[in-house]
Amino acid sequence: MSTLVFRDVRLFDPGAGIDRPHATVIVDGERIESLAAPSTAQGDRIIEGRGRLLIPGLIDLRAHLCEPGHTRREKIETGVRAAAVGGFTTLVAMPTTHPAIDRVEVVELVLARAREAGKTRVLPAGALSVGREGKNLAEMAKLQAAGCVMFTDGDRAVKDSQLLRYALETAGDLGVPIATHAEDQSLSLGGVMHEGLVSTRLGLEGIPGAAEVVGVARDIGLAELTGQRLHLGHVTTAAAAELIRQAKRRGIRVTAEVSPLHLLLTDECCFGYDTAAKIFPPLRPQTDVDAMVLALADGTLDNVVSDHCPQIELEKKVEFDRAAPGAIGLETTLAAVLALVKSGRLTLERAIATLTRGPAQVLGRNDLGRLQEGGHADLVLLDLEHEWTFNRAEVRSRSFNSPFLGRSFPGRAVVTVARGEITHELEA
Amino acid sequence: MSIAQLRRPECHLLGIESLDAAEIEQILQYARDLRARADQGALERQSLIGVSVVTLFYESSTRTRASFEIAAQKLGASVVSLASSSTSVTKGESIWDTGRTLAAMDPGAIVIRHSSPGAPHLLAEAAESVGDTAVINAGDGAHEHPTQALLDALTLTDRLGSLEGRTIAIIGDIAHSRVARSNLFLLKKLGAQVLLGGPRSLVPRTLEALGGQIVRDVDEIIEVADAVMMLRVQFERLVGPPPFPSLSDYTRAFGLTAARAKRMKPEAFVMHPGPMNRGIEIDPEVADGPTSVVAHQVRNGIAARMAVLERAMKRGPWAKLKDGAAPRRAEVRS
Repeated sequence: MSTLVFRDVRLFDPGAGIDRPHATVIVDGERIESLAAPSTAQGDRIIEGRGRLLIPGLIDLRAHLCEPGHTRREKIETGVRAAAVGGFTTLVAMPTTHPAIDRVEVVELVLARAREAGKTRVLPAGALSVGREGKNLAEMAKLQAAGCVMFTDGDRAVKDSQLLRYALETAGDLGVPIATHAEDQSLSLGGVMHEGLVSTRLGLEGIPGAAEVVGVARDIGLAELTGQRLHLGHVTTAAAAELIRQAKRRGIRVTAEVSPLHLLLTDECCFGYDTAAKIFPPLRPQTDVDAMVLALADGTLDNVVSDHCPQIELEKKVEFDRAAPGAIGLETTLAAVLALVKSGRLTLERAIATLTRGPAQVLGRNDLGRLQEGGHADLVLLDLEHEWTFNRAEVRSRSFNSPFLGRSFPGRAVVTVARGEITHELEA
Repeated sequence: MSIAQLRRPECHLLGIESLDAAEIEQILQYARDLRARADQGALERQSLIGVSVVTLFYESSTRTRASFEIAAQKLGASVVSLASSSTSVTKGESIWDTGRTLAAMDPGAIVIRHSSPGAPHLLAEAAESVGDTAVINAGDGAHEHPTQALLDALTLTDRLGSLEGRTIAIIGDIAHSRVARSNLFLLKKLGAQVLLGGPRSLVPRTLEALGGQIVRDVDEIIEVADAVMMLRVQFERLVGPPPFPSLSDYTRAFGLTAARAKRMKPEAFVMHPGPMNRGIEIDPEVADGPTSVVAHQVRNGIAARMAVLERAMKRGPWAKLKDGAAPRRAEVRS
């Protein structure tokens, strides 16, 4: 077992109320040995923190890693590499693979590939329904035993309310959360972007915000009915956030997440038919974006996800209405959240919590997303002063589809350590 | 795909929205000149001899394709007519590759019709990546149909003179209409007031941001309009359940029936871009009656498209831009 020492770091774990400057941290093997070592501590490798932040490794609850089945877009190996650059040490892999993660063999394949890829923790999300078709429940007990940590049909809404009810109850028996993509598909049918001023101008079919609001209302109703844990995936509208706020107040067991795309970008990015801005759920107007930031700040939204969704160029360099939706996000999520801190719209404490303690709590994992002696050595050395530009040349994902390409960000993961292993280190 | 700034915006015609009033007036004025010369049998100068014009239609069309091809032939251009059913599109070729392939053959212009909004923009980007072929939008989904708006403006100005302060009604399925968008942009730029009518399900409030004024009572619109433009319901673009109870219910509420047409101002007239669904949005006796200028619209289509083709090839009044002169769009931008 080798030892790794971080010297002169500002320990920062808002979930645990830790903010301690000039600390020295010793990592031994896969565990944190000490958070308060003497500054003279020695190890096999010493990293000088120079006062920069040492935070818990980030947790992403929504990454499409595309393997098996869509490896032209991404592989677990490349996805994990991108994740490390972005400061993530734990990824929940969406079951949007082919075949879907709806049987034990696929879970095993994903876990095996993840082991080959390194120490980044890849936690498969099992499909809620067989083939994500919304007809029959996937075998959740077997899938959980094989390693699935939540169940979801990914970016497909569960149309049948009764099936979703049964899914919540079944997952409740197993103690794992259900995550949904809330959408009334009859309202969004044919839509390719947000329905509003921009879609009207461009002549593109719209997806009204109400498609999400109706979906969220239904899903909350089922969470209340069953009393089981429901996690609402990538929420984008002010009205949905308000429903979640009320539900939480009433004690319903819902959690919810948002992606940086919906925290920073509006539907105006679609002007010029820019398919990089074709996202699902779609980019919304400024009022919704502002409401998302507020909801994240006040705790209505629990966590930020990358919603990493790679698409090859062939599927983007086409007519807007035919283009594949989605954007890669693993490498920009932390930076995008820090941009909100920089502009004074989010506290640094809240920003880090939404990527660490927040998602850990959604998963019900006390051992993740925190700094504790004896705990997992999942760490990120964070430089808040590091200005950088997201350029195509440094993209580590296998795909390049991002509306953030060319954008500059404040703050970056300098070193990422997953289970004691350095998975990313910016060249000095 | 990131949005590329086009290199030759002054040659392409992707929409009305990006043109300013002076550019529109220039095209209209030149179209009138060409029309006058053609009427005298004196299109003395075959300005596009040696130029190839490709018509690339991914959607079916009768009048627009014929109109573009006749316009091109009248100017001496040779026409290569492609339909998606007879091209590599059926073999799965992307519009990007089609654009590059065609542009590599160096035709003067490609006239494209496509069901996807923005497709002409993508084709123009592709064409500019290999050559200097101009791209002309002959209708892209529910986005724009700029030459239709130009021919409509010719028709309107023929009857009304200046459009400044005039009231033009557009009634029907505005949501799915590229004709409505292009007309709305053009009419606002030329100073007209545009009243929009039709069912709420097909006339969204967001249209007011484009400059139109929505009036829910169609009869009210018809009584004040100087010209009434009727649009068909674009059934081919509808998904999900029908947005209104029945065709006859639609006609009852929004159709230009003979009885409704009688409420028009005495000198007002009726327009329709075609194809017409007779008996639904417009009564046959109105469509063929004395207040209808539909045939005149079609005739004006030739003149408008001749002007647009010459603009694409930097002929006529656009020739002076040819040698090194800064394109005016670029000036506007900077």
